[in-house]
Amino acid sequence: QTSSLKNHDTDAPIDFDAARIEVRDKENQALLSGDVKIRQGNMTLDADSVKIFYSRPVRGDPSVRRLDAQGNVRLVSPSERATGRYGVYDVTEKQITLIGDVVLNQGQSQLRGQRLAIDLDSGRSTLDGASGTATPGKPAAGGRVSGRFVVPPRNPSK
Amino acid sequence: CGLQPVYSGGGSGPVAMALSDIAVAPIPDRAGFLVGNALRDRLGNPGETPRLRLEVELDDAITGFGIRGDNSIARERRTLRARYRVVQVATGAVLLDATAGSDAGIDRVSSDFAVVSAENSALDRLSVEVARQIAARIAEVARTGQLYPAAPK
Amino acid sequence: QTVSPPPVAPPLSGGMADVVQPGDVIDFSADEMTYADTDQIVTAKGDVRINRDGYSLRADTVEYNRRTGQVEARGNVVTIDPEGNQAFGDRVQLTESLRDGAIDNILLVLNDGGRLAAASATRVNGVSTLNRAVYSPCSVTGDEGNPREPLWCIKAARIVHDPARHRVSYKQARLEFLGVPILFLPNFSHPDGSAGRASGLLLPDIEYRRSLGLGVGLPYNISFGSDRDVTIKPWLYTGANPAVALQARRLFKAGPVQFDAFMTYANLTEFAADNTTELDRGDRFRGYFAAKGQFQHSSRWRSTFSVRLTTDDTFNRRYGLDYDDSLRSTYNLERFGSDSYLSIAAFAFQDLRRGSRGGETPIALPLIDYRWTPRETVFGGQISVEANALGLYRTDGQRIARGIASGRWDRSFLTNFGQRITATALLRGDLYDSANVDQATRPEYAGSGKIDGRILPLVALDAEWPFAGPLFGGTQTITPRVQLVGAGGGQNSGIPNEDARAVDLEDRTIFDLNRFPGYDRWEGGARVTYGAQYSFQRPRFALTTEIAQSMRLDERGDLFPGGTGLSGRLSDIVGRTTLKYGRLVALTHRYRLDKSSLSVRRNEIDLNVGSSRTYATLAYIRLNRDINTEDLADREEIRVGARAAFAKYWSVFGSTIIDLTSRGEDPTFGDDGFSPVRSRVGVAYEDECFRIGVTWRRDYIADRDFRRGDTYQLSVAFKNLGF
Repeated sequence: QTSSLKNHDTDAPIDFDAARIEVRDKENQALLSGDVKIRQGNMTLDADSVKIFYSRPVRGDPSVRRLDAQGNVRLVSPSERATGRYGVYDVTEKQITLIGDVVLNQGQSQLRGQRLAIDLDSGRSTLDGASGTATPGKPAAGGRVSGRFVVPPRNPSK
Repeated sequence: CGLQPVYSGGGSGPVAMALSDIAVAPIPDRAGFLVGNALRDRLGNPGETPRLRLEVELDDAITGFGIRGDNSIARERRTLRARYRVVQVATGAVLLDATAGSDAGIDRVSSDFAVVSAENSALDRLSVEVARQIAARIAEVARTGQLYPAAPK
Repeated sequence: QTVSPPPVAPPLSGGMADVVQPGDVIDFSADEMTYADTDQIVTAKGDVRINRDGYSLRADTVEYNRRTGQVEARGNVVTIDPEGNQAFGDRVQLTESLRDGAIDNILLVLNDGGRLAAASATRVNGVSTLNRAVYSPCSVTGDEGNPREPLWCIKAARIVHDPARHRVSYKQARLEFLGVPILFLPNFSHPDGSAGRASGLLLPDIEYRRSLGLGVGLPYNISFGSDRDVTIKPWLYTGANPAVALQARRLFKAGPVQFDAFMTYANLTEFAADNTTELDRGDRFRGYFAAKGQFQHSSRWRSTFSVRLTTDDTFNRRYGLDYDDSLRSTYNLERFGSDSYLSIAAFAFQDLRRGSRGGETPIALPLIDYRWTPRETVFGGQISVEANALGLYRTDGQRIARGIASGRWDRSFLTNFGQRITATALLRGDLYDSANVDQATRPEYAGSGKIDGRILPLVALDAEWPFAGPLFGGTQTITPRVQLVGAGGGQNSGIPNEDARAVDLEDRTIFDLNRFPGYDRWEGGARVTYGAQYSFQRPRFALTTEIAQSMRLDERGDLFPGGTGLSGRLSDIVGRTTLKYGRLVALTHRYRLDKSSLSVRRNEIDLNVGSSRTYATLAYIRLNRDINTEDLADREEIRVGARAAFAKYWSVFGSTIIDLTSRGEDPTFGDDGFSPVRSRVGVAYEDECFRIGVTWRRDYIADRDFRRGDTYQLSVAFKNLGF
């Protein structure tokens, strides 16, 4: 079964729900804190606090550029669930990155690492043990990824 | 020169009490039956819940030597060796792990059956001697208090 | 061997019975893992480790296609199966079970150290098939770890390793020793390390024997399953007709049985009575047959049997099977009770000594021995009952039947002073009958020939008083001992003597209640026996010495034959000294001194010095007993043996037996004072995968057609092949 994050519509409206919202108009930022819930399409992102960066075109209403989530970040989609300490949803780049004791659950399989990068176009997710500010693709020192795959039921007429 | 009787205090003395607290585990084969009997005779019958267990492994061999002019053997020697351990039943701790052994000579006389009979008599005697050596060593270890390391003072 | 890896065999997926059920768990760990969702391929990089249910894999990178279940590992791949066999490779394609698939450039290390290398291999259901492969159990690293060629190896077009059946089998194989092919083996198999024989051709034995010339034995083993096998070894000699050795082994549920045979059709030379003129009997069928086994019928009952027969006296020695001068066949049915023991046995003998007549050799059928010692005590004493029945036959000689029963009561107690007193009372009843008394070979043992019986009472008192004390950091113990024995009049006259002929006073027998062996002779009368034992023990050091003598309190000095040490009122003095120093030195000295002249009647010294790898042994015996009732002439013999291990794998060993009997001691003996009987020297090389040994032996004494002369033996063994 393919992941539902593949071709996720990053242009769909994003609705927020939080205990407190503090808007900093000059810096085009908004700070949500207190059990923040963010929903876009069939994907939800929860965290203790989220900083939203948006761009304000000359005309038209503002559009969200990036979301920085902090504090037991939880990303849930119909096909998988991932948790970590920090999360960054770069809407324009269509990329979600979770960092810090990341646990990715898919069906009964479970993977653990330090950094999870999900490419929303290809549906490709990379998990590695790099805990430092590693450039994507080259893991920083240390940090192991461990996981447990459950053999998926295969139709016998393979 | 500091010699005292090993079994001082007689039947109720410390060494005798220690010895009668040992159960002899069954030993296989004919030699095992004989050594087992001789050990029970020397150690005394243990009570219902003996604190220690004596495990014995035997090795019995007959070799020939004294070669006569027609290449025949003039004399045999039967050797009975024992490796034994005293084990604390409760903890399984091994308190004593030692060996004992002895041998007896048998002349090759004019009747083959007489040789077989002399070999059996030799086994009877060697079983008693091996049991004597084991009991004497355990009595010695008991006398110096090593059979009761954990016993509260 | 530098072989360009062929294209990898197509991955073996689909169609194959996939042993992995949905829900099985595969554990991954890596530096980095990428999961491409589109085609469900998980790529793990950086010291990747996967394991599933005992199978594990390690590689630099692994791609796991979750849809097809295909796993491809690349770079320093190591797979380990539950039995510990490791397979190394460059590129491995496996199924999810991590068990089956193709392996490139594989090196398979078996758990017993044997190595299999091949250009490529495939593994299906755990069975590895290696193409153009090499097997060798020898180490491939020198002492300093530098790589070296294995001493020997087997190269084959195809090698199949089946860990489940524990077998490694070869197609078109050749055995190479130091790089030189020496043996071409069409196809054969051997166990993969677990003990057991290789079925198929085993290694030849080569020996030279003066009377047979150069001999080569070619063993061939056929194993029918894990519980039975047959080995046939034809022998070809340059100086005699061929012979064949046969061994069949079978493990029944109740116990093992083994049958051995060695047969030939060859020349037999016998000797006339004067022992010099040879009588050539021409070619005859000659052979040796042996069968032995043991059956545990139930937790208490057990049967043991051993049958040994040969066609003529010197056959076994002439063909180097053994040096026995009497073959004993027995059957023994035993019952082991908690406090009782029963043995129903039969004995038959084949006496191979010169001048022995078959008809005189006894057959014991049955020999019943029953012992019972109940745990309960009577009047504070231990009861033990003993019964013995014997039926002894000779085809032309005396026959004896006897029944013996005895009851014994022992009570031992400790006095406050530490004396251990044992009081004994014994009552024994015998019943004898014998026939063909006139045909008895030795009339003095024949007895009256009529039914005879006797009642034998005995009382005894035995006192030991052990003292112990510290000495030089160890303990010394001294144990004086006195024994008083009073027994009913010795009625031996009229009773045949079959089993009490081997009488010799020893430190082990002097405190027996009846110092005759067996039952047929009873020592009556009253006597006192006194002795003392001293022992000193420190860690790693033990010295024990004992000495004893006995004195008859009545006038009966004629009970024991002369020379046995017990004739006359005063017995000879007997003693024993043992000395042990750690595991390095073990000395045992046994002696008997004449009661009046104190001259040495019997002197036996055994000395072992050294460790298990390098040691020297000495065994000396001198018998100066001038026993006249038996053919026990005085003799003196020394045996020396030594083994030295050197250069890690090499060892040299030698032993010799020298008869020092001088004419004074034994007038019938030719040489005087120093004549070697048998000596042996050998050298051997043995490492973890190979053993070769050369032994030279010389027999100085001939016996009929077992001639004096030299024997050379070469033994070669390729280990792990179960050869």
